[in-house]
Amino acid sequence: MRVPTTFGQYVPVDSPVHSLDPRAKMGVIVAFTLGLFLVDGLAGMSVFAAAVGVVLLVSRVPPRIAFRGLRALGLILVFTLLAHALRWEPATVSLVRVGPVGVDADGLLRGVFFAVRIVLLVVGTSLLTLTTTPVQLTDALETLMRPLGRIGFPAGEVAMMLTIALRFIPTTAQEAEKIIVAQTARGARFDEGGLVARVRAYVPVLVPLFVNLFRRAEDLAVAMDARCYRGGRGRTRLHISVMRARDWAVLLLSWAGFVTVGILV
Amino acid sequence: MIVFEHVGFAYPGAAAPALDDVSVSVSPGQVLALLGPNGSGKSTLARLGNGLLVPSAGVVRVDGMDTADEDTVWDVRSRVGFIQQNPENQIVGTLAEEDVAFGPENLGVPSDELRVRVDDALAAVGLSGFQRREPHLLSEGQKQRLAIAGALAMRPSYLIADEPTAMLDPVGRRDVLGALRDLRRRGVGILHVTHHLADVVDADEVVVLRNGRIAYQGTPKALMADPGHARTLAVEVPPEAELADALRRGGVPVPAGASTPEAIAESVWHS
Repeated sequence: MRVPTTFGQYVPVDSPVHSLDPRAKMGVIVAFTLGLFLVDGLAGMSVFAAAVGVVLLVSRVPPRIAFRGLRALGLILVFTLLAHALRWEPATVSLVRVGPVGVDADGLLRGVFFAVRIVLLVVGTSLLTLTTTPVQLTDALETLMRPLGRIGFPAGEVAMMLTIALRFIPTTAQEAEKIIVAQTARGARFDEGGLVARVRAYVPVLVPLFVNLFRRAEDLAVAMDARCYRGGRGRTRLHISVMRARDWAVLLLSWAGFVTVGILV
Repeated sequence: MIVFEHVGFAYPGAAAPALDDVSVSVSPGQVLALLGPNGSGKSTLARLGNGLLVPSAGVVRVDGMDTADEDTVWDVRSRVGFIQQNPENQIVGTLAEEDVAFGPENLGVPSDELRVRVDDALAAVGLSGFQRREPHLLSEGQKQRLAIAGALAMRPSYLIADEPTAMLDPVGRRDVLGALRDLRRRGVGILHVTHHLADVVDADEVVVLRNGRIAYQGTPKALMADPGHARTLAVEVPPEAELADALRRGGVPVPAGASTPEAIAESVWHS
């Protein structure tokens, strides 16, 4: 097991998409999703497909990686396609017919339409996490949640929790690796037996891992106390991201574009 | 000045108190070394120094403020930096610079000044250029220096270091001790908890705790001049001091000030 230096899906290259403010990107995703559900025709859908294609090109994210998220969806895509295409004793003329089951041309088109919608939704939204680091996302979430602070929602605290979780993922992964090595040295086997046996083999890894996590949590609490952490109130930030003209322009234009196409086409 | 006056502390449910009638003090620019076996109360004393714990007897004052006073405890903590044994567990930020900024962020320092403080603090511990580094990619010694930078960014008058070198390799240990020496030169008062007298040979004062009481209070030189006494205190003296002591017992007049191999060789030459 190797511990990656950046985890999650982030693709570390420089591109205009990467440098866009994360909040603007989130806003664009919302407009994109809204438009995608308003559109009702393959013509409109192809506009959205073209948009995803252009952004993918500009982002310099390898398409192979961008489409990786679809693998898990294969079954759902096939099911969507078949559910729309197949007709039981179809009234209309069928393309193919096997006994009482037929494939209907209109249905097939509808199936393609819905399958493409799922594909675009997954690829489009994953472009956000592919071009934005988890830290940027947390920071963006914090500023977006800040207005909720007025009604008592602990925005700063939630963001701090997310940041600490992100901070300790690599540490915990390194530690798990060490424990696995230690248990292997004591004769534990992680690659034998059926599913139950394999899951059970990880119990001696998880127990010390969690014990250590609690110990870490205590130390961390002391460290935070010693450095005057009193919750989100009155805290300033080293990085204050400001929405620049370009971020606003992209955000507003994407809303205008996606929603217009969604309604008209 | 951090002043411990007749301080006692007992953990809830513990049979014996962790500390009993301990009086010590740390002045700006001075190093107080705190030694003693595990369970002697060293870490308890360290945590009393910035109000993480509050004494059950006696009083701890930081620049005149009682650490038990909840109105001033945050002021106390901003003046007294605190670092622990495990470097990894005290790092909050996902990037080195974000971690250093954590303390001053909590103090409400405006962001343009934060930038200055972060860069200054990283430079002070020799980590300039590590701003965007992820903490888990640093060596243990670098992590510990990052923790020192995190304390330093709060511009403290004092630093409490609870066994800061215990988990480090020799290089990491040397660098951390170097960073602590620099802090002292800048006028920061340091309470240095350690198991190694060798880490604190240039301290202004050494206090050895045993079962929560002060078993020795004096200079590191005086303690090193008498390794036999040090051993009864469960303190390991540096090999140079052991050598000087063995020579003295063998009839070679090694002066008390000779603490380096060269100085010892010199006195052997002249005898």
